[in-house]
Amino acid sequence: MAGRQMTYLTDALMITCIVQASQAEKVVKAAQDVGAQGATVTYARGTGIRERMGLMGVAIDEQKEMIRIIVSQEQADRVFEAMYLAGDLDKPGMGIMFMNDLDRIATYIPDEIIAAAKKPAKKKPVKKPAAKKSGAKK
Amino acid sequence: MITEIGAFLHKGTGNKLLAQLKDDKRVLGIYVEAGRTEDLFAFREFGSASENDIVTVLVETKNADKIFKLITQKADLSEPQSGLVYQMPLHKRAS
Repeated sequence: MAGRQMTYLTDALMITCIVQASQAEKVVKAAQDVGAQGATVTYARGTGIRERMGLMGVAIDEQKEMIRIIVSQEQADRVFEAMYLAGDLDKPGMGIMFMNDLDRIATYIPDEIIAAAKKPAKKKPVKKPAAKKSGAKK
Repeated sequence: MITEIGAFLHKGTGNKLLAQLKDDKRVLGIYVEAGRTEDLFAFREFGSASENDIVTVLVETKNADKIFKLITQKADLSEPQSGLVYQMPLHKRAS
């Protein structure tokens, strides 16, 4: 392990979205369309709203898909909104989503990206304010 | 306070990690799920996705740093397409 260093990514959030089975595809597509890299999807079983809706509950699939997407702080709100709209989460029984702050992420980062991040940003030349002429007549 | 450490890894490596960590006294809980991922691995099985394991580890916040480093070492993230490990604070614990 000597000589190896770990670089962490920060300022990231995880969006978790739980939708009915087979709905994940379009939600992930919507997230990717607004800049998300991709998603991890798992299967789950849900309960709650299905029972509360009585007879109407049979229309809600018990099988769920759980989508996890990690995004940067800048894109978080945009991706969250796109997923919400694509999943029709404003309709009852369609699902739920939430977002958590992440402390840090570790993954493979190419050396050139690390090197570029370590370079100090070039300073823009600052325009000097025009020197006031002393002794100007009023 | 407790912390969640999660890892998105290649299929099959989740259970290996579970076996390595299950006897660690600092680990409060460890779970493995199977899923599919769109972006972590270049290898594709189902159209645009590939199978992966998601490992969730719960630890006391004071131990999070050491366990996080341990998991990243075991996951060997020095190579491309090897996965991702994240750390997330949790607010309340009851057990």
